[in-house]
Amino acid sequence: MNSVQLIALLTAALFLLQVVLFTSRNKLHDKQAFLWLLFAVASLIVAILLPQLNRLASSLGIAYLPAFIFMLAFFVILNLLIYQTTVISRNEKRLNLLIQKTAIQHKELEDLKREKGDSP
Amino acid sequence: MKSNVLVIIPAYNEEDVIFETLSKLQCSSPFDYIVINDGSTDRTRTILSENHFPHINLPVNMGIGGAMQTGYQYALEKGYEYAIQLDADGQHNSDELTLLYEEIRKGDADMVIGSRFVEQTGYKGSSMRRIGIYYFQWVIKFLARIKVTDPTSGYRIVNRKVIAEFAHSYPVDYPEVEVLVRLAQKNYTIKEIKVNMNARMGGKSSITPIKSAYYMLKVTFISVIRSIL
Repeated sequence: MNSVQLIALLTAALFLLQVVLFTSRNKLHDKQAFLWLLFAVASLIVAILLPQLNRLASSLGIAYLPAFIFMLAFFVILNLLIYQTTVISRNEKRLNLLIQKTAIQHKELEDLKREKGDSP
Repeated sequence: MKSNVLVIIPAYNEEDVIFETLSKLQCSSPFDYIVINDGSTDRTRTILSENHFPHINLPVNMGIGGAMQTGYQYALEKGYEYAIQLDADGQHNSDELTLLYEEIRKGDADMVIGSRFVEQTGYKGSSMRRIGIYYFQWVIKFLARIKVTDPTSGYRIVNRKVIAEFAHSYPVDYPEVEVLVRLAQKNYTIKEIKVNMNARMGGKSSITPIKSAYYMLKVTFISVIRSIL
C-alpha cells in the first residue's frame, strides 16, 4: 500500500465516520442518510481498489489516474446536486401549499369570529 | 357567498391604488371578490382591514403565481363556479367583468381572456411589451396550435374545471403564457373577447428589460420541455 492509497483510505474512512455521526445525531433524514452512506462506502471501495482502478484507467487510455477519479467524482456530484435540487423543489412546493392553507384557514377563522361576535 | 363568481385580486404593495380599485369594483360588479394580500410590506394590509375589504393575508410574499393559486384554492373550497383575475393596479376595468362572465356562461369555453388586441382598442403598450406579446403569440401557436392575440393579459375568467386544475397546480412566476399552453394541450377551450385596459393608476411595474428577457426564455424553455415530455 503506497502513501496515496493510505491517504485515500483515511479520507474515505473519515467521511464515513462523519456520515455515521450525522445520522446517529439525527442531522440527516433517513433517506438522505442512506444516500450519503452509499457514497461514503463507495469512496472507501474506490480507495481500497485504487491499484485495480489504476489498471482500468490505463486500459481506457487515461494515463493519469487522478483525472479518472475526478471525472467519476464530477459525474457523481453532478447527479447528487440535481437530486438535491429536486428535493428542494418538492419542499418548496409543500411549503407554498402550507402557507396558502394557513392563510385561507386564518381568513375562515376571522370570518367565524366575526360571525360569532355579530350573533347575540 | 352572494354570487357564483369570485373575483380574485392579487395585491403586493398596492397602497396607492387598492382603495380606489376596490371601491370602484364594489360599485360596478355584482360578484364576490377576495384580495390576496401577497405579503405586502406597505399599508396595503391596513387599508384592507380598516375598510373591511374581504382579503386573505399571505404571511410571506409568494409572487403572482402563489397568490393567484391561493385565490383558486379558496374559490374551489367555497364552491364558486367561476373565478376572474383582476389586477389591483387599476389596469383592468371592473365594469367589464360581466362581459367576461356572459361569454363564459355560454358554455363553449373553459377560459375567456379579456384581450386588448382581438379588436382595435385604444391600448398602446411599450414597444418592448409588444415584442414580447408577438413572441408569445408565436410560442403558443407553435406549441399549442391555438391563436391567442393577448397572451400576457391577466384579465381572464375560468370555469370550475379550470379552477380545480389551477388550485392543484399553477406556475410560480410569470404564469399567464405557461397556463395557456398547458390548458390548450389538455384540450381546454380558450376564447378571447375585446376589453379596454387602462394605464396603471399607481405603484410601478416590476418588469425590467432583464426580467423580460428572463421571462421570455424561462416560459419558452418550460413550455417546450413540458409539451415534449
